[in-house]
This record gives sequence, C-alpha cells and structure tokens, in this order.
Amino acid sequence: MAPGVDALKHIVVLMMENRSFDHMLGGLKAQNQQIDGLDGTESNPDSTGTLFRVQDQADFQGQLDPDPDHHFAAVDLQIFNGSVANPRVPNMQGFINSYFQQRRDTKHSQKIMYFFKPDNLPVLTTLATEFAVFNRWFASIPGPTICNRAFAHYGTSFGRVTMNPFYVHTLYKSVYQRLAAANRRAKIYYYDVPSSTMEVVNLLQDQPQFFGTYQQFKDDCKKGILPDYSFIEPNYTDHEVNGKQELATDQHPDHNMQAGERFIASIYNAIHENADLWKSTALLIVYDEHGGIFDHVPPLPCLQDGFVAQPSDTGTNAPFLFDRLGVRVPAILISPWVPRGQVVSPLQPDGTIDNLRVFEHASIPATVTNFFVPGFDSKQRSPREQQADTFLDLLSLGQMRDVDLEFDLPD
Amino acid sequence: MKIPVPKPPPNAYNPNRPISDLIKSQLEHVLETENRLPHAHRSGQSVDSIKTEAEASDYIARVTARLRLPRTVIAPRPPKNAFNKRRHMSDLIRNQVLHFREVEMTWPEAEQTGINAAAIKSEHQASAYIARITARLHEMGGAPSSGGPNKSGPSASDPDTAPSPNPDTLSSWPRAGDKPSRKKPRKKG
Repeated sequence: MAPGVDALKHIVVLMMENRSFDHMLGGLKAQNQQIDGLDGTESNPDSTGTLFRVQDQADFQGQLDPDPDHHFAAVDLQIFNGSVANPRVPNMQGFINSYFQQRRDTKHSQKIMYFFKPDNLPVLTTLATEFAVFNRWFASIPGPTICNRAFAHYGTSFGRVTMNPFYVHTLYKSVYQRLAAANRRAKIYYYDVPSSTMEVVNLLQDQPQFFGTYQQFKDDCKKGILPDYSFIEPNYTDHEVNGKQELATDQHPDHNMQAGERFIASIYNAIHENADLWKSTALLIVYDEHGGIFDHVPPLPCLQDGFVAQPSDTGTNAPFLFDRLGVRVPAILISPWVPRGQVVSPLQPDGTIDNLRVFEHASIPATVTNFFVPGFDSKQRSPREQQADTFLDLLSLGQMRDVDLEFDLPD
Repeated sequence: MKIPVPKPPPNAYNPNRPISDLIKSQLEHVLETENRLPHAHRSGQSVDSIKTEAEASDYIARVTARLRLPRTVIAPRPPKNAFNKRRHMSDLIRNQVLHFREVEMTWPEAEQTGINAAAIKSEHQASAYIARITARLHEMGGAPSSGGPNKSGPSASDPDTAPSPNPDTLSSWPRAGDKPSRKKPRKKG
C-alpha cells in the first residue's frame, strides 16, 4: 500500500450544489492543456439558430435567475437536444434551448454558456491546480439534486430520478450505517440547524446521532477528533441565527459564489491547520450535479443500476434504466500525498485520454467502504457501487510533500 | 601541495551574453512552476522577452522568491447585499421543506407545529420551519454532536447549538389554514 494510504485515517467529502465542470474549471485549460476544459470554440445554438460560443463572463450572482431547469426531462434536452435518432447520441447542444424555455428570452438564455475566469474563483481553481482534479467525474443521474446526492450516501437512488423524498430502504445500507456496524465513526456535518440536511432527512429522523454541525466540524478538526468519515453539507439558505446573517454557501444558483468559495476555503483551512490531521486526511470536494449549466463532455453510458424509472417520473415519455451518467461536475482530491498539479485522466495533445478513469458519486461509498470496512459484502452494494472506480490510489507520493497553501478569509 | 587556480579575466563577466539552450530550458521549467502559483503571486513577465543571462537570472530570482513565500490566497468577502432572506425558495428548498413536513406528519397531532408548510414562500421561512423540525428530532434522538463515537452531543437547548430564529420570522410563519401562495411555484430544484 502507498505510504499516503498507510497514513490515512480520515476521509472528508464536501458536496456543493449545481455547477458544471466547464462552468467552474473550464477556464483552466488555457493554463494546463491536460485539463479537459474549454478552448473557446464550444457552442450551442440559441433560439434564433445562431451558434453562441462559451464566454468567460460568469458572475458571482444575478445571472442564473430563474434557476436553470435540471429535472430529468430538461437534462435530457440539454444532453440530446431533442434527438430522436436510434440510438441517440449525446451532443451537449441543448443547454440554451432548455434555458430559453424558462423565460423565452434569447439573450438571457445564452448566459447558460458562461464560465468563470479562473481568477474569479481563486479557492477552487487554486485547489484544482495544487492537488488532483478529475477530468471525468460525472453526476450519477442526468437529473436533479436529491437522487444524485443519494448515490453519495447509498451508492444508488433506489430507482428515483426526481426530487421526491426517499426513505430508509433495507436493500442497501447507507455508508454511515455500514461504518457504525463495523465500529467505525461516521458523521454528516450539516451547516446549522436551520439549514439542516438536504437529502437524508430519513437518517436524521431515525439516527440523529450521525449528525453534527459545521461549527462542530471545525472544532473537531482543531481538537483532532474528526471521525473516520465525514460528509459535509453546505448552508442551503440565507437565514439569520441570533441576529447574525448566514449566507447560503452551497453555490446553488442564484446564491452568491464567493460565499461558497469562502466555505470551501474554511474546510480546507480547518484540516490544514492541524498538522496531524492534515497528513492523515483526504478531502474530496465535489458538486452534486451540473444545475442545467453547460458542459461540453457527453455523459458516458454506465452499468445499469438494477432499477427502472417510469416515464411518469422521467417526464420524457420513456423509462430510464440508469444506464447513463449525468453531466460532468467539478471534483478535486486534496491531500499532501497527492502530487502537485495532478490531472486524473489527463487530456493528451491530440485531444484523447489514455487509460480513461470514470468516477461518479457511487465512487464515494465505494471508496469509503473499501477503506474503512474491508471485506464488506459486495451483495450489500448496488451494482453501480460495485462497479464504481475508487480514488485513494491517487495518494501516490512516496513521501508527504510540504504544502504551504493557505486561504485568507478577510472579514 | 597548493595548486594555483588563475582568476578569470575581468572581461569574462558578460551579463549581456545571450542565453544558451540550457538556460532556455531552465526558464521553461521555472515558467511551468510559476504557472502553478496563484495569479496574484506570478511575476507577469513574458519569458519570450528574456534574451540575456542577466535578464534570465533576474526572472529566476523573482520567481524563486515567490516560491518561498507562504502562499496565501485571499477568498474575498461577498458584498453586503448578497444576503437576501426574502428570496423565494427554489424547488430544492421546497422539496426539503416537504421532506421535513412528511417527518412531522408522523408525529402525534398534539406535537405537530401547526405550520402550514405549503404556504412557506421565502428561504428564511423555510429555514425557520426546518430548524423547528430538526431541533425536535434532535431532542428526541440526540443533539448534533462532535466527532466522538456516535455519542450524543450537547442538548438541543444548548445556546451554542440550538437555533434561535428571528422572532419576526416566527410571527410570520404561515399557520394551518393559511392559503398557499398564489404565486406559481418555480419548477427547478
């Protein structure tokens, strides 16, 4: 086993909201051609039929209102742009078309093609270039938040492609239940009580002991009592607590992006500032789904999940066999055992990728369970989780490197 | 035995000497390293413009000094007007409210809040409702806790952890019987 994996004691996952890879990190391709971002020629037809190219005009707030549709049917339109060919081939040409449906405003709908200048997201882009950035981490389902987040906890959404609540399912246990049964410690840190948990209300109802708050996460880092596995939920709403304004930090449109940047930075700082914790922790930052925002990489077919979503749920007049991934999202693995500037599945000069590795949210319970509960019965995992790639091999350095990067969060 | 080593002649020093292929390759290497620094820490100099050994050493010295600095990246504060507690909740938050409402509906009627969840409109109202249900769940099963071995943390009534929603918002909570919002719900999640 690599020394970094030998030293590993904690895995922390921070899952943010609703931004595509190209929207957040696509601008990095200009600095590093191995990153499969944007070269400026990518385009979508707008409502007049004119091809509109991607632009680095994304702003922190105010552009993506209304919230771009990313229910299953809308994402299907974004990926296939209404193609009825058999078989259909994803072309990523329907993003403007989909957003246009919401306001019937051509100019406004073009904003779905905007991406951030790297300097405007200093936290995320610095982490992406300092540690390991994934060229192929996809949402698990071409659909909305709840079912995608379910894959991070259960390795499946139990056949859901919608925002409907799902409840305790005996078929597959959550990763927290698995670890607890193996006498390991696992925790979901939600931001605070008014923000609470988004996707695992069922766990909160039945097993509230699995939950902590963001403040407790920071305290646990300081005290060195972080559990084996931590999953962090951002603040989902603007709200006040004891007269203090709490800004949403989830980066869900149309929440403020800088608040999310500072939240990510604070998680990194909390781990980095404790030297013992820093050398024994792997932090994964990942987004749950693309939120209806453009990405140029077609989602790949995948192993069926053993479930079928009915046409009444997909909204496309067709069932979904869970045989295609969702749109690509940003994902970064942070550890002093990760080589600096690593690109997972780097783009070659000819535009191809050798030894392609594909990740999705089922990679999270797969990795965590393999590491903390070795020998876990594969029959207790979904087919997707059984097949999912894991990421701890990326802690590949023979010796831990010095990382002097820190984030300053001015008041 | 001491072997005399002659001193180089004064004219051997030539900072204007054109850079060799070796120095060019060193510059490329340094540039690659510099490009991994945050933008604020980069020199901004074009390596293509470097022609002499003096220029090359000056550039290399500046980048090396930057590499030795602790790299502090500033995460700017959002503007004050970013906070908007009256923002209409997205479909995502609406669904979160519905999840919590389903939980509440499993309680005996006397323990239910009586809040008409269907009439909640703003993020602030949603978070106040979610706080009530979450706090109650923690009262029943264990407060949010630190990373100890699945132990209970401080009580939900602990001022450090318990929510204290704005009283103005509390009084504006929709009650059962209130009419739901007439605004068409936004469809996105």
